[in-house]
Amino acid sequence: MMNLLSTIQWEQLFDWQLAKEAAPYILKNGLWNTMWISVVTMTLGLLVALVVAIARMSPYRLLRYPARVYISIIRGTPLLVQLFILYFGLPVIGITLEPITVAIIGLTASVGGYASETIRGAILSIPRGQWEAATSLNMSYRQTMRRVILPQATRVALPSLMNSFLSLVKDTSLLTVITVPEMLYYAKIVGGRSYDYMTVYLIVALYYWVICTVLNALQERLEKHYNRFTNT
Amino acid sequence: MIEIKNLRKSFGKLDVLHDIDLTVEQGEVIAIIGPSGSGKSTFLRCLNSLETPTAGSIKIGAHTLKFNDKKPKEREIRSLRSQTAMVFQSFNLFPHLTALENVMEGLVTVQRISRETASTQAKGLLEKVGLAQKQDAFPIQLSGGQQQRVAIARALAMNPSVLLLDEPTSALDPELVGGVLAIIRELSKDKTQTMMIVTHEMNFAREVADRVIFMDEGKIIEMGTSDEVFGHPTHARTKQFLDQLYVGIEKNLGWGL
Ligand SMILES: Nc1ncnc2c1ncn2[C@@H]1O[C@H](COP(=O)(O)OP(=O)(O)OP(=O)(O)O)[C@@H](O)[C@H]1O
Ligand SMILES: [Mg+2]
Repeated sequence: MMNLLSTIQWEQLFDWQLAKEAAPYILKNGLWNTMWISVVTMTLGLLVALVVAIARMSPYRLLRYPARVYISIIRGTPLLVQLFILYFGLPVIGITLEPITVAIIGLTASVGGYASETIRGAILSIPRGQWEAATSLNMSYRQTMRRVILPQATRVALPSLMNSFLSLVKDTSLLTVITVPEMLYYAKIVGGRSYDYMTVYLIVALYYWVICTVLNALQERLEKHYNRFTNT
Repeated sequence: MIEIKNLRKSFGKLDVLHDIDLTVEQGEVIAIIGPSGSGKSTFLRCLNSLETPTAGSIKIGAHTLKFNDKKPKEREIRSLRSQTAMVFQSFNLFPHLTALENVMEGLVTVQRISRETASTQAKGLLEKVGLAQKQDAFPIQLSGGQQQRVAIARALAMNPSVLLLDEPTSALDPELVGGVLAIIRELSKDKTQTMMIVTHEMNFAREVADRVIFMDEGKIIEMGTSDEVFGHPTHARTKQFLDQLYVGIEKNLGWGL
């Protein structure tokens, strides 16, 4: 064991000289793409999720079944395979999409599928009395949803949706395989040039960790804000 | 003002209301009493269109709705419902809104009244139920009795022809019941607000009700002034129900024989 440790060349594990150049390079070129892709697909995904969740609870089969099939496909297949099908598969039938288009469609669809189940669960957790009180005031289904149910469901769904967002930020690293230039993509470029992958991947790992830690802190503050009417 | 004819309600095979006939005058206060499961809540919920009756007709003010196998139109349901407002046993306030916002919600969202006007009206109603100083409190910060008073203000805000109250004090701690009953008593005084109250508070029913209805197994068994129904019940089942109730009360107070 000691022998093994002593054979490791520690200075090759992390090359400070390289890090000084690579770190700003990866940040400058990749961070922006990682972040805007995450934010945009999360936003679009939530809209899709809300529609799918409501369709999934609809009394009409014509809405309910497609929603179920969609959710089942998204949750039952790996995101990487979905991206491959969109990027490498579709050209076979004559549909060629830009990498960034594939990224937006693929990640939005993914968030839409997972978050819809979170949102549905949150909506179903709101007591029947809330629906009845709103209906009794003569609110329509839409008004009840918008004014009474969703504000309360948001609070219920928030921790879980924040986790989805953290996963999404990390999942953008998969986009590197379809040549979307996000953080990992630039790290690979530098790594390839310098033959020092360890240093650049450690840098990328650190970046993801910092982003997620910041988001986590944000989540705690948001939850506090939303809990103001349940904790006195 | 209210005319209910042959009202019937079934849940699948279970017949809960059988051919209810009732006429209520403007400003009347009706107390509905009866054993558990007799259909009292279902009756009020039918009037508030939270349940769709199986057959019969309901006329409130200028709005009439006949029920049969065909589903009534949403628009018709809504115009009938706009004549009523409901106070629930478990308050059902909106927990994410303050007391004031709870009272304003129907005015702003349904009646499309401007926020300023709605706020003024809502403040007036909170004052009426003695909670003006609690307007910015969230429901969780209020006692059960206070919550129910906000719920009464919220219902009154809809300016209903008839106010429906389903056991408004049953979920309250005993020491909070009085405050809520006082509000309802106050409302009954000027004889303008028509009310139908399902209650187990017999003394209260006796005091405020112009008429008392005894329901059992989905039927109106007996109806009359409170003196008639409480003092001289004619129907055996009414007597039995009232006797049981008094025995229960005596037992609770330690007067059991
Ligand atoms: N949504 C429903 N589906 C099926 N059965 C129902 C439904 N609502 C009420 N019932 C049944 O209808 C009957 C009457 O219920 P209801 O709640 O109207 O009685 P109640 O007189 O208000 O009783 P309580 O004093 O306990 O409140 C009961 O047998 C009940 O189980
Ligand atoms: Mg009941």
